[in-house]
Amino acid sequence: MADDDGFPDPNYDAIIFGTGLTESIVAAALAKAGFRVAHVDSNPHYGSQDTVFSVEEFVNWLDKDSSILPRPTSASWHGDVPTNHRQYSISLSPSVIHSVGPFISSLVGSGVYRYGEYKLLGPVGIYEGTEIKMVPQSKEDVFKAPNLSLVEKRRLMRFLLFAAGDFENDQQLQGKENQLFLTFLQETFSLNEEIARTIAYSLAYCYSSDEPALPCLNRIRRCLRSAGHYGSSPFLVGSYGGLGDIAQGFCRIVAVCGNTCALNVTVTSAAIVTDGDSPSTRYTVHLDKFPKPIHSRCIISSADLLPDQFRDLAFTPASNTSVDVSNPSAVARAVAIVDQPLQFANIAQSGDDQAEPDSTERPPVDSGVIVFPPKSLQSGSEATSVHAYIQGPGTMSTPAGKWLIYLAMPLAHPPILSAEELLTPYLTETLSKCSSAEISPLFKAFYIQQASALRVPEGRSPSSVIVTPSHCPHIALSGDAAALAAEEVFKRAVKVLKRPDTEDEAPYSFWPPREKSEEPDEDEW
Amino acid sequence: MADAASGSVDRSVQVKLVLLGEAAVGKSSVVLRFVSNEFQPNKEPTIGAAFLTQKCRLEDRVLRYEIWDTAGQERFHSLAPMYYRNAQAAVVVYDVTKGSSLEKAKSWVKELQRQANPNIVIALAGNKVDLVQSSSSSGNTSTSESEDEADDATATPGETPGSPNGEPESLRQVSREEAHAYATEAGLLFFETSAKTGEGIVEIFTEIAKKIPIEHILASTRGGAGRPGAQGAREGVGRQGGDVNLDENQPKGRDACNC
Repeated sequence: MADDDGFPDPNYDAIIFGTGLTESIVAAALAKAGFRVAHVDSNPHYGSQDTVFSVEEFVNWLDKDSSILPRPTSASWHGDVPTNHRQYSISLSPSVIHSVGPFISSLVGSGVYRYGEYKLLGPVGIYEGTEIKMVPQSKEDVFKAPNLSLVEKRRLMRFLLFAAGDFENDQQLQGKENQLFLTFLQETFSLNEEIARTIAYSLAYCYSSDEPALPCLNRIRRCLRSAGHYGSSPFLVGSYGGLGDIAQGFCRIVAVCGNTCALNVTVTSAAIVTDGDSPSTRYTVHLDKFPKPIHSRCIISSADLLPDQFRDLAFTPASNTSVDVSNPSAVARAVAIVDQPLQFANIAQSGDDQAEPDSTERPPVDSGVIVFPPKSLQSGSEATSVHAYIQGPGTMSTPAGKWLIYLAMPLAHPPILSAEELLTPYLTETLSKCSSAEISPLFKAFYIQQASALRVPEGRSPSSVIVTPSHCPHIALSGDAAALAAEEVFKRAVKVLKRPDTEDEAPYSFWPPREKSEEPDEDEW
Repeated sequence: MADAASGSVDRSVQVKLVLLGEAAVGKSSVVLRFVSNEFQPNKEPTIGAAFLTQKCRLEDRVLRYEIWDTAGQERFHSLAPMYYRNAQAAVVVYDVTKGSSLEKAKSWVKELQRQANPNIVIALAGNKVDLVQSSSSSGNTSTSESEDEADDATATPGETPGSPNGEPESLRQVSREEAHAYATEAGLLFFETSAKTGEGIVEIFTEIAKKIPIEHILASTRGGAGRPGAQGAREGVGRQGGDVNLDENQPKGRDACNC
């Protein structure tokens, strides 16, 4: 079977365009449910907008390689590409993973977790008043926090208890669901402004001060329920670049179930074949490199890779569940490589720093997050928060002795400044606060990641051309958003594909329970 | 694997082994022979197994091979970097009756040398040798079990091979000498194998086991960094290394399941 023999079979249930996290989860779920899937990507690598690059691939992408859509804008980079550039995994979608949530459920349900490694996220800090303060990760931390008066502690605990519970029906929230979250915290729970900001930006991971209460509370509840599951941190860090690497795992499941994946192929022509009534609509796609077309009953695509011919039919399933965050139109991003260990040295962790000024010898941070709320940095953003995400050698994303720093700033409007101008103050401040030594990055890069250009109008009637919902760039919610979106797309696809005589939905559940026959049986050896 | 949950200090060393080679050269059949001592003629293209595991005893050590099949992803150059990552061994398979498959094997060896762990042990396997053997020479080919594989199911001699027919030697397109010379030059272990009869199969895995730097793997596993395979030593030192077992509510040791 030579490479140019084409697909082994011309007929599929679904042709899936794109190997981003959402598309990959959908593809794997359909494959596991027994549907025949052709999974293609015009990029030469897996992951689409979630991909993981070596440093060299990354700078090629910034400079000229236009294969990943949408293309980066405002790109610049400085420094040298390290000779061992393959030992770095630079993620286009750097994100931590909730320990409990839809994404973890998909990882475990699909078995993809076995391909990777996961560690607990290290410290989370919030930058306020020119220093990084440790964010309490547990109730014990709150009790011990010496900066807080007894009254403040009691108020804070009252709020956390409320936020962990079923607050939807709680009188304290009635009628205030759309109140500004910061106002809600201060008025309803009498929390002072500093505590309210800490909650909003480093627990709810708000982008800005104008977010309404209910979605923020939902996010906090997700965090609180994740904390303590695998350890004190509510978050996990995926190794080798995280989400992009995990996307490869879902793609492998597609292949393992006997389906075909092809990278680096582009659509040369595409057609809709309708014989009479719409349930029998078929799609035909010609791919370069393959002599014969492939056919399917359903098209699933990322917005960027959808063939033009299918645009008029495209629809995105409305979601009943969401990760409760609205996506910015663009994100300014920075990536830096440093060769000095980073410490949250100035953190007044327990406030007992007066008693024992131990700011010198803290262990290096292998992974951690620093939140810069709006207006926290003089030369920074007035309107939005910036998230810094540190990954060290323990995350397998860098070689020994090197650390990666990612910065992300959501943009509501096209910025006047370049990505580099926007983020340099944050990078400088992160470096100066995380090390007593003067650190200058070996490599740094800046770019703006645009949201997808194609917007599928809402309220389109359901069709069998399903476009996956737009990518969520949020540092804490990206994976969960992809998994929820994938489940909606999966359900819609199953509606299109299942035989009309089967009323029973059971075989088509998202990640059906593993069957007995799939259990390992090598153990007797 | 009930023992792994209780006796958390398992002496076995996990070794990730990847299979490579052109489609239809018999990669999965080689593994199936090794793991289950089975052969299925006209086997469908690879479906079903994410990875299989098989123990291999070597002196006082037990290697646990975690064998990754390509799942057909080699066909359109769509093998993920994840596939090669941390592989300590690779078996590159070609078909002795198909000259082009050796060329493809050579390109896979290059790819491994470019992408994979620099210390990877690579074995070249010329498969389907049963097709080029006359009945007299094929005889009982799988008698080569050594004491090394005392508890290894695949060491049991397989069913007797069916009698080859015709003038088999004319089917051969890759001579043993040519392939051997290439393997020597490239620093690869070399075997001619038959997944059908079992010839040479156990030997591949035993010889690889001898060449794997076990002490090195153990040392790096203990350190919690530079872990050997995706699953390396998860039960043993995973916690110290900070690794989180996402499926910890489930019974331990499902690392050998089919997907």
